[in-house]
Amino acid sequence: MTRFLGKRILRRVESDQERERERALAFEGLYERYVSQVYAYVRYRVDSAAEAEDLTAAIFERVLAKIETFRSDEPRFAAWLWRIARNAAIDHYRKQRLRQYLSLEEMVSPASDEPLPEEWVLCEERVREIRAHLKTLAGREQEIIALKFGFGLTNRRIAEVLRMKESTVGSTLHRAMIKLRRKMEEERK
Amino acid sequence: MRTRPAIDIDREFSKNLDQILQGETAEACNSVSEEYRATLEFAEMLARNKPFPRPVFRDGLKRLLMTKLGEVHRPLRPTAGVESGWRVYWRPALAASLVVCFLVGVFLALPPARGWAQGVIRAVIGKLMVTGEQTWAERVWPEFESGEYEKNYERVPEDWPRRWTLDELQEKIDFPLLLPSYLPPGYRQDSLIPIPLLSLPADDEQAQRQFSYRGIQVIYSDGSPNGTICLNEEKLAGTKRFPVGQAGVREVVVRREPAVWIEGASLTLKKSGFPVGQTTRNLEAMNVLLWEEGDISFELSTTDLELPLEEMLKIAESMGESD
Repeated sequence: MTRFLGKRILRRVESDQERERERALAFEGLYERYVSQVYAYVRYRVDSAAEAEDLTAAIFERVLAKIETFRSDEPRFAAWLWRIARNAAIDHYRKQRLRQYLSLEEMVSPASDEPLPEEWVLCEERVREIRAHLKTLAGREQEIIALKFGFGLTNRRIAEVLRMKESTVGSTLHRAMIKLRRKMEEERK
Repeated sequence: MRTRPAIDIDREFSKNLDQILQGETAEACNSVSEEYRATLEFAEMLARNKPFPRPVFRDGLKRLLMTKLGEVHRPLRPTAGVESGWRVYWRPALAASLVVCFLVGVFLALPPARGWAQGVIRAVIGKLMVTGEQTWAERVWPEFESGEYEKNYERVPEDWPRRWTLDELQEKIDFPLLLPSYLPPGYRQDSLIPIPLLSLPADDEQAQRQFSYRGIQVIYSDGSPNGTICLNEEKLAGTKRFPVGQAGVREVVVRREPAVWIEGASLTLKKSGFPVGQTTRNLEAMNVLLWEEGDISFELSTTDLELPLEEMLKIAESMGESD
């Protein structure tokens, strides 16, 4: 009897370990797939790369804390993630908190010896310029551009997230892009 | 003259934008303006310059999150053997407990086992049980529940009820009978009757006549419809529930014995199955004083709800062997 129960416990422990490995793999996969999208979206919504990193970290921390309660397929996960990201960005605006993920900062601080990739530096320069003009647009226009270019969402998805009509999203997006282009052109002149 | 269909420029722009974001070439139709084309080119520039996280940040955040993920699920690791063991056992343990409870329930529902269980309960809780507000007094009287009571009632001797003298009754009862020397003003003895010992064989009339009584019931009355005091004293054997329901229960002392005073008891005894006092007692609302002396149980009850406890205690304290 004892041996039988021992085997059962062992099997259970092994299956727990297996499940843990699967969970880690699944989370890793989701992270790899969405981290760039989340960062890009957030970067369009805040003024600096440092803030975007903080916010990205906060978003994934929140996802991690709630991942156990999430039971669904990946498309729903994406929708869930957008909602979390959007709420985090809104919170950020409200609170304008100082950087608080110190442990993370220590690990990934730009002051580390690791040189910044040139490609990233060039892109960041351009993004900073875009962001400077983007934030002069209306809040809803900024949001739509960030969702479109950050997350790469279709107009239908954006309409669902923002609870708008799809046609309204299309017209707002078009108008916002014209405005942004003109502002940037005027700046260059 | 045929007109060209109007282009939904916003939809066309969104379509082109989606093509750009998917890495394809945006194919704008010929009729679009220069500004439209310029905006598409601007969109291509935006898409090319999509922000991306620094690799060091990306990897660092991943390491941090994976570490935290491990911490969140640490209880599942083999070091937490006790918890893992319990997780294995709790379902079968719960199922086994339910099965055992069911089997015990079935076993105790069968008559022989039920009798045995009642005996055990009786031995544990005693004859009289009072447990606070949600309480009941329990008395020993098995035949009441088993149905023997009514069967025996049909066999009550033909000369019953009749007028008994105390001496006649004392001959049939194997313990000294006690009667009160004090009664409230206006009350007098109305009847004195024996309580049959129902555990004797119902068809053995001779046995019943010779020694077939376990106690007496004395009824006192002041002549009004509710003016009745009833004294039962009997040697108990078996179990009978004495339901109290919402009635108030107080613990008191009678003749140096612990007793209970049940105020507003609504007894659920069946009148047809209650041979003694069925015509004289209103069983729906009464106050009852219960106590025991040795193996003799005393029940002093009244349907006169105005009669205070002090008066009932005075009656009880005045009880003694009559000359």
